[in-house]
Amino acid sequence: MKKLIALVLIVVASLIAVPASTLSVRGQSVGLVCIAATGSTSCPNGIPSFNGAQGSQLTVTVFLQGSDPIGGFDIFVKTINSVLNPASASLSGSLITSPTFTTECINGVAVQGSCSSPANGLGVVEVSTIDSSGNNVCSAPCTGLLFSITYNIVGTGTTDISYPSDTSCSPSSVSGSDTCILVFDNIGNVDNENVQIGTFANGPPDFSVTAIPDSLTVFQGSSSTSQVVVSSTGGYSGPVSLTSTVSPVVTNGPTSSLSTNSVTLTPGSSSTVILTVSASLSTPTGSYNVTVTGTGGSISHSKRVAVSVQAFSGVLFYGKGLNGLGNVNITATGGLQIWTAHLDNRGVVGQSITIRISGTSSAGPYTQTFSTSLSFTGKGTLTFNTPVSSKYVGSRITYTATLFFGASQTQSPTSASGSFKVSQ
Amino acid sequence: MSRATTGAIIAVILLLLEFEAAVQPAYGYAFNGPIPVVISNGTDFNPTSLQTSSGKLWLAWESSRAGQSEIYYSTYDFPSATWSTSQNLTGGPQNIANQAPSLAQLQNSSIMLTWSSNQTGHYNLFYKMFTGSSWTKSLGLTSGTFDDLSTRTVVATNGTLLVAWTRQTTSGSCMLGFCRQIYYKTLNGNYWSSDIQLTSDLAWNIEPGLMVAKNRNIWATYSKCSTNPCTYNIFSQTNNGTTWSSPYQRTSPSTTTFGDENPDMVSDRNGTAWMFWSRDVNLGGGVNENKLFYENSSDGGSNWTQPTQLTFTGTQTMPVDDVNPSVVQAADQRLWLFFSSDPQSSGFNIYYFQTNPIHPVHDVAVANIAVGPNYLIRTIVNTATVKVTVSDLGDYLENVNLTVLATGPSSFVVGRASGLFGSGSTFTFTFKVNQTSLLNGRYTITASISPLPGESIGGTLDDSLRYTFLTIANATNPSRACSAPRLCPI
Repeated sequence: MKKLIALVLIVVASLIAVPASTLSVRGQSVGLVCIAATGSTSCPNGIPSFNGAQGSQLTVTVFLQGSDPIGGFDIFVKTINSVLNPASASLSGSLITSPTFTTECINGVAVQGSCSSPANGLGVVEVSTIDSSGNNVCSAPCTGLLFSITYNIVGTGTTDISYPSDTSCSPSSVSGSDTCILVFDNIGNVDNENVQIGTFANGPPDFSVTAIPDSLTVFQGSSSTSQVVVSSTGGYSGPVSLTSTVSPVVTNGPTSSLSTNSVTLTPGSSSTVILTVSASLSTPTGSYNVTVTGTGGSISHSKRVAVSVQAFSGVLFYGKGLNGLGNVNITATGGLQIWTAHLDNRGVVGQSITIRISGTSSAGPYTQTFSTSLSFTGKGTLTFNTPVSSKYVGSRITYTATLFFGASQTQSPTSASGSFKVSQ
Repeated sequence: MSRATTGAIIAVILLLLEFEAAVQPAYGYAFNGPIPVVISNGTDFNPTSLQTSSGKLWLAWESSRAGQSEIYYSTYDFPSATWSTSQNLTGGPQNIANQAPSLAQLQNSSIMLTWSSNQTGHYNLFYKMFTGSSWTKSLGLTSGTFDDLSTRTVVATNGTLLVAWTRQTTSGSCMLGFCRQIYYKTLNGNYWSSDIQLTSDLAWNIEPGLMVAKNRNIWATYSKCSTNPCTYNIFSQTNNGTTWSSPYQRTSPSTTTFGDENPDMVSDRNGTAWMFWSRDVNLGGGVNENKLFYENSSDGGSNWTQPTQLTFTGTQTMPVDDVNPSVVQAADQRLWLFFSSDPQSSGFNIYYFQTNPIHPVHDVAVANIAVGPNYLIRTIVNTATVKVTVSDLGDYLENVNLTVLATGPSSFVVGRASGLFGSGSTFTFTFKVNQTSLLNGRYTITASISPLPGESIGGTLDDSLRYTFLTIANATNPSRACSAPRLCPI
């Protein structure tokens, strides 16, 4: 997530003529300390992003814009040194043209002067100096380079190029904080500054493959689905081809299929593909894995979905599952919804079932249950009614029906859903 | 330290020249999805979403996974891109139904969950608060022998919480014996208002949606059915902080269908206002299904695009219902649109679409005006301080020109200021008003920013803010000076 903090404000208040007899205005003058690319003549318009390959170097500048007059500064800059490891700092080209009493600390080690501040440490660069003239080096608005830092790019990842805070850094030019930025004029007055950080990232464009859920139970003679989500990371853009394979391969083993064999990603986007795993009545029970592999260019990622094929002696919805006769017309005292359940009884005649209908509507939840014993095995239909109160008139009821079977009322792996309207 | 005014003016001129050619935002809206987020063996309905100030995205919904309708929630962590484990927030007595939650975050950062429950024998509203580490107990918000349903909440820019819902009562004077109207109440500080009726015609008005617009107006939108059998149309009303506008019809679906329901609105970070809803669509053969539609406005709601269908799956033999949209402007700069759907006709679960990042945008706002004291008594309190807070909500370094005006018995410029604002920055300008030569009376203080180059029309709607009133009067009781907060400097 893009950071919104540490973004800055420079206020150069201008007092425009107003009737002096009626008011007085207090202006504010706040400068900006920012991270900028080398050669910049102003702070960037927003947080700058830097990148670079591992093993190369990156040089950034610490820039000042719109400040009150300055005679010197003491500024710390921090990075994650496993990504950007500071190598050197330079005052070449600085507003401070004749630096003296200079301190330069890299990774807590003094290159010049002494590193007494506890804000120093790994990944931290401190540069402090004043101009030997004893004068301010510029008048307001003071704009220009303060110093530059060269980093060795030693890893891949992301890091802010920011400013540490420490109680030892008080007073700070950043009002109300202990931010380790101190800019001052030639007689030691602290200038007010805001700050703008930089960011660095060198992760390559990539994509990820996940599955929800990543484990499935498939009963013999039925199928189950998982939703495979392919997401762009690092700005990846382009097609990703998808395959699914089942292991181990056995005779009459489960089969898998994807709702599409290719998706096209744009930076930051995701696409969802339905993975269907099916088992026949002759599929051996046991554990399997389905591996979904996405390939885009030279990049390939896989996600394994664990599949448990189980013998099934219960009851399933099949086909349309459960559907109402249609929209319900009721009287002032209510009415009935007539349901048809399409059931596949893999058990015995007389097996008990319960169908629970859980719905919602603008007139409140709608919950009904129906229980019976099945008079058939294999596929068949069952018709039953549920009452619909008159309070639902003018409402659409959306529902999911869940099915339970057997003496312990085990929940069936299948459910059904839909909606109907109630009118009078 | 010297603050050279002349130098500052030169700086402003230079900076104006430098940023005059700011880049226009260039992006289009695209919806990516649907992506599953809540998949359970039960029924998952009525999602509500909230982007919290801590950076996490919250999602609450109604689920029957435990056998009865309960309210669950989960939070999304952007850095790790993971959802937390779903937690049951109601877990109430057996056979109690809980329906249609809504989330909002108060200005003190507490997160408020409101929902409807029939634990009193009727559906009444309840609420509980997450105060940072734990949830408070459930408290009743409405009571009575009617049914309060389909609640929605929003926090206005002044911090007032607004809760809206459908109230269903029985009466022979209403259509088919049922009255369905939109009600709301407010929480201001610790004070709850009474229940206030928003709609009062002979129609059924149900399922409110709420939004705070860029210009700080509250939008209430709802579905209206005027005839039996019903075809619901979506209407909206706006509140400018004082009064509600008249109802305005927003959609006109086919009268042979059930119409449009579940409206929800959001204002995105570019100032574009959006409305999403669920429309009943005829698939032929007597089969209907509900699909998501949307329209948007880039000018603050004066003009809207034509309804656009967002979801399409479903057939006569396997209709798919997409219902209950809940949309939020998320911290990743995308719109996230949550909804309930049964894509396999095998149970309703929660899914979402997300747009591409709405970035970069130009947007600077006058966030606040504070005046203190706001009551000047001649010879006792001569000077008021006017503090104007300006925020850069967009993605650019902006050159901001602020003008503060006072209008009343006479009009005058309180002050002007200019400055450069970085993305995410906030600054408070301070001005003084001396009453010495001003006429007695009430003055309205208006702070305005000149529109930014590249700022959308919708984005300019928060470029101005009014404060009422700064009052100047003769002393009637000199000892009252600063004895009341309004007489004391801020």
